[in-house]
Amino acid sequence: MEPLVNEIFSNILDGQHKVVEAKVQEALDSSIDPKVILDEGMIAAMAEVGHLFEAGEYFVPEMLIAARAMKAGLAILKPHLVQANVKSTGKVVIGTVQGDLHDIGKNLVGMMLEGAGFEILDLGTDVSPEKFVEAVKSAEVDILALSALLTTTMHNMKATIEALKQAGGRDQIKVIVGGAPLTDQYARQIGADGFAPDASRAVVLAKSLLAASGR
Amino acid sequence: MSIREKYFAAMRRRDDAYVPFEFNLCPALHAEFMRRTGQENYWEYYAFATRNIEVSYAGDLDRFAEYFPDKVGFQIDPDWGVGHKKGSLAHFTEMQHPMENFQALVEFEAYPYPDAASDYDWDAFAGRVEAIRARDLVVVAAMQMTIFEIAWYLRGMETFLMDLLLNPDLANYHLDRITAIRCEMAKRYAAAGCDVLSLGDDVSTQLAMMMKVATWREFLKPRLAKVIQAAKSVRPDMLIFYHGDGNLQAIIPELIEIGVEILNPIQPECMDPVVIKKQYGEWLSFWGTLGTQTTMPFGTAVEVGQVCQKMIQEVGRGGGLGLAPTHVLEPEVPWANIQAFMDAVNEYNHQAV
Repeated sequence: MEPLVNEIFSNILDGQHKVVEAKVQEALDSSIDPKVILDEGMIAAMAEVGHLFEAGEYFVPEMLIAARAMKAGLAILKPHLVQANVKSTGKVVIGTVQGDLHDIGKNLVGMMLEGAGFEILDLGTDVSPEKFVEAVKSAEVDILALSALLTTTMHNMKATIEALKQAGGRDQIKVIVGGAPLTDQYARQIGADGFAPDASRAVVLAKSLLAASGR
Repeated sequence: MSIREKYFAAMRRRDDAYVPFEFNLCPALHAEFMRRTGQENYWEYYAFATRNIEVSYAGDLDRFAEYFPDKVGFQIDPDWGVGHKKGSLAHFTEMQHPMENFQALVEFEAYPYPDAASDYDWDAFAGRVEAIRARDLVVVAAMQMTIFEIAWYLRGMETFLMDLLLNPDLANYHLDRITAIRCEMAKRYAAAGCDVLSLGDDVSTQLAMMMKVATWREFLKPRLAKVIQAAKSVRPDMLIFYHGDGNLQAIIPELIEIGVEILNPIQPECMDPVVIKKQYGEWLSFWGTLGTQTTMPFGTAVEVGQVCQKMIQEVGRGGGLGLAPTHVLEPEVPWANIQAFMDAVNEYNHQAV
């Protein structure tokens, strides 16, 4: 691996966002391919963050600072990716369902998906089914990611999926769900395509769903 | 035996003849309770042994205006300054964090943290405590959101979790200020005659700790220990109750070490109360154990009764159980399940009599 790309990788793992910014700029100035910086520096680092999280070596604070460092680097890299016509892994609309104001779980999933190369449209919390449908229809979206922390609000995941069906957009996208009271069984019951128990495994799920659908 | 004696016999694991019990209703279920019974107060109606009490804030009411320049629709809590805005459903609110954009220590230093002595009505408090004790009820001083939670309510969760790694000087200053306030309040709650000090900070997800145990040990454990010591220095027999949602098995031994005596809520979705009782029941009592993601909202009334009986028999063996749903009962909990809970505790407690 290019030494500079290697440094981007290790500084993302350490959450050093200023260093990551500087190193990404240095890598671009050295004419390193933006896609290499993205894939081998940033996406690989965030995948490692996911592994460390699943292994119980990283926890939420480590994940947050790594994601912030990745985002800082990505902001510098993005115009170059556009210029080089580098496509994202997929487009995700994410939000916490209507009535529910919890956001940390949703934010972590958004960060980890972004770190895996997905383009994220975050609708925030307390998002109505209509808003989700509108967002999904307004762009070429691959995945709709729904979050809920409360037993009082989790039924709004079903309401959102139903609204999507009625609007005629259900078959074109994959719906993934997550949140403390949810289970795999509940996800199937409401017609979602998958459930993940944490942000790291949400990335694995998203990628496998897209791969299975040939995207 | 008086109600107080029965409560202490259970919580000090001297006797399992009586199982204390409790639940909290959301506003919608409270309205349902009033409709069904014509009564206002379900704590009285169902004869819970405990009463939660906290000192009333008596300081200035508008100390935080400058931290909410655009405060339309926000309720600002008057002592700490956390903002709340009502969401689209039930009683849930969105939190606003006045310290979210602080960059420098001077901003924390300038923040109007409450004064534990002069901003609260301690004069009236002792009388309120005495009035509860005089009715043969157990007085629980409510001081949850003790350190970590109030720290992030003020700072924002993501920002504060990152502070722990990136800005430890800011985190330490903020936590020290909060801890000093909590220690003073703990002493005053103890001096006023409260029986139980109810502490709590959620530091876990349902899978694991939110942070490394090493991070908890560095920033939170010693400060929680200080608060407990402050209470015990005034009232050595004050019972220490600690609330921590999720799976906090990684720190249970250390909670015991620093003086926690009753652990709540033991969410059965992520920690098996029977296993936890076997592991730690010699040193700890448990308050909770009834799932509010499973049994209470989605079980049948028969299942609620069965789970209650199982918890009473297995976790309550030898004492050490206060049976309670793990969280506030939300609108989707069927009334029949609340009735089944009451039937189960009444059957056991009356049988025991």
